[in-house]
Amino acid sequence: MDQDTPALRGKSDEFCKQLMDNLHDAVYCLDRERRITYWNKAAEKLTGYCAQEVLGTKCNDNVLVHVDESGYQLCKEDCPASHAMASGVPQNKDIYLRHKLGHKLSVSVHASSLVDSQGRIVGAVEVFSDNSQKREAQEQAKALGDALKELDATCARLHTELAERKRVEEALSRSEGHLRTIVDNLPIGVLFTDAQGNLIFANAALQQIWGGARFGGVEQYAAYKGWWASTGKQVKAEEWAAYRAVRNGETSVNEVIEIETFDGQRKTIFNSAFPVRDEKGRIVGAVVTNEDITERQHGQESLIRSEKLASAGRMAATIAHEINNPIAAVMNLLYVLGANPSLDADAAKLITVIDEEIGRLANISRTTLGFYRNDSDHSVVNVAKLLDEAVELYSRKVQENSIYVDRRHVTEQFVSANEGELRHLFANLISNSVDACPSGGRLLLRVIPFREWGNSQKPGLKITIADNGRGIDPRHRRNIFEPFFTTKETVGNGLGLWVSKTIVQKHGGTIRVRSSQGRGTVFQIFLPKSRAEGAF
Amino acid sequence: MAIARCKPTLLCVDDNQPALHVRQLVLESAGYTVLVASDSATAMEIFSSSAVNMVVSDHFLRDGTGIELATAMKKLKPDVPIVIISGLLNAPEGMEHADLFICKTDSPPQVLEKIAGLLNGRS
Repeated sequence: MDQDTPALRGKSDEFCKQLMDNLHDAVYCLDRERRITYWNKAAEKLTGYCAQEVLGTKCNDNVLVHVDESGYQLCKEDCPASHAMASGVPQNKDIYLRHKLGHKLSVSVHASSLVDSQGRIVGAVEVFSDNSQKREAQEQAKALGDALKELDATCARLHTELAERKRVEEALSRSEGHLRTIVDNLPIGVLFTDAQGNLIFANAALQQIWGGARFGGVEQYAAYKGWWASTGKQVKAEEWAAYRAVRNGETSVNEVIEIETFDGQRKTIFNSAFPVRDEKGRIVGAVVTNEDITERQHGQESLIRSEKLASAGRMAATIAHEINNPIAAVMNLLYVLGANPSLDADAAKLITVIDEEIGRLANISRTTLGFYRNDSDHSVVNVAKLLDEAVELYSRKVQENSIYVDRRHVTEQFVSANEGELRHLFANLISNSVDACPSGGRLLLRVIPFREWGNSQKPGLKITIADNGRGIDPRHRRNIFEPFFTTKETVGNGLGLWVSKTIVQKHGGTIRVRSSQGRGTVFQIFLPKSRAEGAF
Repeated sequence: MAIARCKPTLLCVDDNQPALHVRQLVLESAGYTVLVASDSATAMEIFSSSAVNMVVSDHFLRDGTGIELATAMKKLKPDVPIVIISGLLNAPEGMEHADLFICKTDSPPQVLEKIAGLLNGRS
């Protein structure tokens, strides 16, 4: 700047001064001794110190207390203005100064050296301004930045959690799928109920057992028909194990129940149930299992029957042997006695009676104890004659009860059969009818040529043995041909009708019964002409 | 009442004395000569040393069964018919070693008829 005339200098000084005082930024100048030589209006305003107070003071007197970020005081050793003067390089710094009133001011400082026309450094000029807004903005930006980082981190975490949850859900879903498949494939019927006992799920096996399923509330339980195997009583809705599990927390194991399925079949099942509880121990539902044991039951029943039969057979054989010996001895004695000439007519008659009685005893031994053998000799048998002879066995009882025996058959009716077994068969049925008849009752016997019922139309005979006695209780109808089934409390072994049925079947025939309680019973037996035609 | 032509000799075996005795009486009343034994050993002795036309034996004997006795006897004299008479209602196992089974529930006339029938069949 080569305009160094006094007139110009004065004018330019005035101009400069006005300019400087009108600046927005604070300005101050230092000489080489760091004395403040100029302090503009903006500086006064910003710092609170007026020019008079600071002019002539050294900046290293620390009036302004310039400190940096870390609180380190700069004015003594680290003054930006001094650095600018010393190095000739402009200095920029963001620092704090102390306002006259004592509060801290955040300022941006720009210091540069002043040179004369010869380029010699004669002082420094510092421009500073309030950068608190800038600082605030910076801080806000930083805060935002930090917040953003945190958000990012949170997002990442949520992302991971979500992925994890998805994995877990998939695993759960797979696991549920497995469980459902397992339950559906179990060979045991499974039912679920909810906490109220409503039936909500039935697996394939259960539906197979019951021929379907009924869902819904406890009133649906009545749709499931069952009877306790031990008592024969119907299972009431509230007696079902499912109900007890849900209401009382009861666990039931393998209750034997006879059921009638939705498609009308009769089966036997094991019924079990247990309650399901949540982590607090409250009942949230029940699980029921049903196992079809019909086969097993029948198998077991058959086995027990055979064993009973075998042991009964053994016992009967032993008893028979024991009593037959004395019977033979008595018969022989009577025979010898009967031939004794010293007997008078009355004595001889008595011998005859005794003989008859013993004969009856022998007969009973043969028929009652000699049941079911594999002797299968068939011969031509006169069925009508056998029937007559069988009635004779019960002549005493028939007479005592004034039973009218109505024989409606032609005398000669033949089939090829085992005579002994037919005798046994007729004796059984006639015995039952005679027992059932009231005083003055009627026993009907009939034999006619016949072609078998149904498709076969085999030729043979139909034998009818009927009475007008008390009849068969309908509840027992389905049991009467079973071995060891008897309604007579003191007499009988329950084998009569079973043996009778077996004999008829062995001959390739069929046996039927009709009965009306209080009115009477009719047995009808068909025997084919010969076993060959019976094709058994 | 069937009676054999010549007086055949029957050997009766039973370990029950009264039963044995009364069977003897019945058979004798039909005209047979009756030898008796109450066990297998005695029966075998008599069987081997005497001329016997038929043996009528109980099944359950003190020292063995009637079937076992029959088997032994058949080895000695296979032509002599052997009857097993027993309280059993069904013939025991091994009847192929004997000729006829009679149950003790048969009346005396029935027994005599069957014995005569068997003897006649043979002669």
